[in-house]
Amino acid sequence: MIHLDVNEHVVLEVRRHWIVFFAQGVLLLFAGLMPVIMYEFVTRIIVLHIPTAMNISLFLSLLYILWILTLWIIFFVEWTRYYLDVWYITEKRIIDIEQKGFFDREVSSIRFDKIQDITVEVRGIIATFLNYGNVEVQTASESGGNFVMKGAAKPEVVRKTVFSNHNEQSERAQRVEIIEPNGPSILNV
Amino acid sequence: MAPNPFITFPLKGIHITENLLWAILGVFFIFYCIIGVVLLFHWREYGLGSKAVVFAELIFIAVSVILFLAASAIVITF
Repeated sequence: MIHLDVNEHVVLEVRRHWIVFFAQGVLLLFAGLMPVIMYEFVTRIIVLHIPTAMNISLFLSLLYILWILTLWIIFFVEWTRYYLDVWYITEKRIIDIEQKGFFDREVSSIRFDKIQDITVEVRGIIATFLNYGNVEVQTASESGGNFVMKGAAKPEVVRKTVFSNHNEQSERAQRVEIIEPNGPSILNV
Repeated sequence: MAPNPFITFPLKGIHITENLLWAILGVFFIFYCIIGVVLLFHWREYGLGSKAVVFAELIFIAVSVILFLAASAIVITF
C-alpha cells in the first residue's frame, strides 16, 4: 500500500508500455502451441506412428492441460510484475514502486523540489510510433539515486506532468512576513 | 528408419492408473493454490482496488476452474 499525505492525490500513474508485456505474452502463446506443433510434426512430417489407444491420448491431453495451466500461472506472475511496477505522480512527489518479484518490493519517493532534471529517450521506429521510451529523473538527493523507468508509456506526458508540478511547487506564492518598526506587514512573494 | 520412441510408451514398469493421474493432478493443484494465494495477496494488497486487478482476478480464476474441470474430466474418463 502507498500512504499519501492529506490533500495529496495521484495525478498520473506511469507504467511500462503494454508492448513490453505483449512480447512476453507472445512467447507464452508460442510455448502453449509448441506441443501441438511438435505432435503434428512428429506424426505428419517424420511419419511416426503414435499409438492412439484411448488411455494414451487421454494421458497426453492431461499433460497438455497441465502445461497450459502452468503457462497461465506464468502469464499472471509476469502481469503482476508488470502492473505493480509503477510510478505514482502526485501534486507533491513521485513515488517509485519497483516490483522485483514476489515479496520483493522497493518503494521510494522524491519531492519535486529535489528534482534536478528529467530526460526522455525514445529510440527507434517502433518506440516512436507506439509512443514509449525511457524516462530518467535526476535527483539532488543525498543518496544520489536517479529514478529510471525503461519502456514507459507516453514519456512526453510524464515529462510534462513532472515539469508542470515542479514549476507549480517552485512558483507557488509563499506568505512572507516582514517585520517593520510600525508593525508587521504581509506580502505575497 | 529412426526407431519409433512411442512404441515403448508407456515406460516399462510404470503403469498409468487413474489413481496416479489423480495424484499428479492433486500435486499440481496444491502448487497452483500456493501461487494463486500469493498472486491474490499481491493484487489485493498493492493493486489499490483498480478495475484492471479485479478483471485479472476474475479471468485468472475463471479460466483456471475451466482447465481444472477439463483435467478432472479426463482423469474420470481414463
